[in-house]
Amino acid sequence: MVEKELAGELLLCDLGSKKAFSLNRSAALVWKHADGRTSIDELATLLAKETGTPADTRLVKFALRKLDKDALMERTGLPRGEDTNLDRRQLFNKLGWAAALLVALPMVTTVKASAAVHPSGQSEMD
Amino acid sequence: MRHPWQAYECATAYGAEVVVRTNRAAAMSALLARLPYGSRLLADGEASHPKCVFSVVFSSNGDETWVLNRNGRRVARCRSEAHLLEIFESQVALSVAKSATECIFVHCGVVGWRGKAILIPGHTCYGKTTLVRHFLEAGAAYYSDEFAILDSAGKVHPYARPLQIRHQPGSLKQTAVTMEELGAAGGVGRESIEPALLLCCRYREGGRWRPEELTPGVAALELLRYSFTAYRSMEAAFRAASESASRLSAWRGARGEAHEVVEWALRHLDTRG
Repeated sequence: MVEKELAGELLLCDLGSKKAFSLNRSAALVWKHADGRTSIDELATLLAKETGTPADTRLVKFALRKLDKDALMERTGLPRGEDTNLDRRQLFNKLGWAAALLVALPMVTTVKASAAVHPSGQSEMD
Repeated sequence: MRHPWQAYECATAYGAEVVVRTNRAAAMSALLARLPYGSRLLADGEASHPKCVFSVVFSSNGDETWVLNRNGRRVARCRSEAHLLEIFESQVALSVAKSATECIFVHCGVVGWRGKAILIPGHTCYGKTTLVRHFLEAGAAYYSDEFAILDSAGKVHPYARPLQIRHQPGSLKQTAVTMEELGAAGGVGRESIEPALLLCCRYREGGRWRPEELTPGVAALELLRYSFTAYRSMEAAFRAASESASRLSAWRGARGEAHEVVEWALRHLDTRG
């Protein structure tokens, strides 16, 4: 995994899967500190300090789910449940601090290099 | 070593090596003229590890037939030399783009404005060439309508082949148009320049240009998304794309008429300084 910080974001490049990721400040913070020893409550406090929003474990769980989905976590230890399976809109509605969430909502963008990329072809991005 | 081919050449471009051979010696000069911008012929023994061998076989058993093989596999079979040359040009460029080691290739139109590059990535039929053409008419310098070539420091190099213009929207048939024919006042870029603006846009009939600004991280992924080099050289592509992305402002949106984007982009750059 190759890492590069870019204007507060963290870029990750997985040479094995040929995927690259852009983590915003919140997602990057969770990824860096989710080391198996730091609790979700502690991560929420760190995230709140970084983004200036109230500490909320649901944001951390949201980030962990996103990171897990992109195989950026070995394991999250999170059970499947209402809080951890929220999508972005549900989280936004539930937490409701609209302006703050724009900054705090963990975001991961992914692109995969494709052997078949061609002038008329497609590669993946979400 | 003797080979059955009447003409045989090895060339290099951006660290990629290609072999071109044909059983019709008279065709070689036309083939070499279609090699990618910046190619250099290698002397005997100078080639180290060509990854792509293009073979052009001419036969005239009744009808004239031209066959193009790449690494022993047939790519095209044509009735005319002109058609074969078009396919050859596109295939060699793609091979170089995928195996370049000195730079990364991004599927992109590129123009220069006051010494800075404007990059327009996108797949075929996204309207890149139309935008490039409008930028040239506004006085920008021509860099490429096909590839942005980024070095490890993130700078943009020229790939100034003639513009390939479609006369029917969505058609794959293209015609080469030179700068002289276009009357482009900004000329052709010859030097590498710093990237300044990334425009991720796709033509949509009746669309209005209301772009959203992309973060540098997402801009880097946009460059990787359209990179031909990333699959073989992921780390080099990642570093070059992130270097370039750190120096530019990036915008994404659907566009309608090209002039709206061009006016917005040049105003944006002139204001930004």
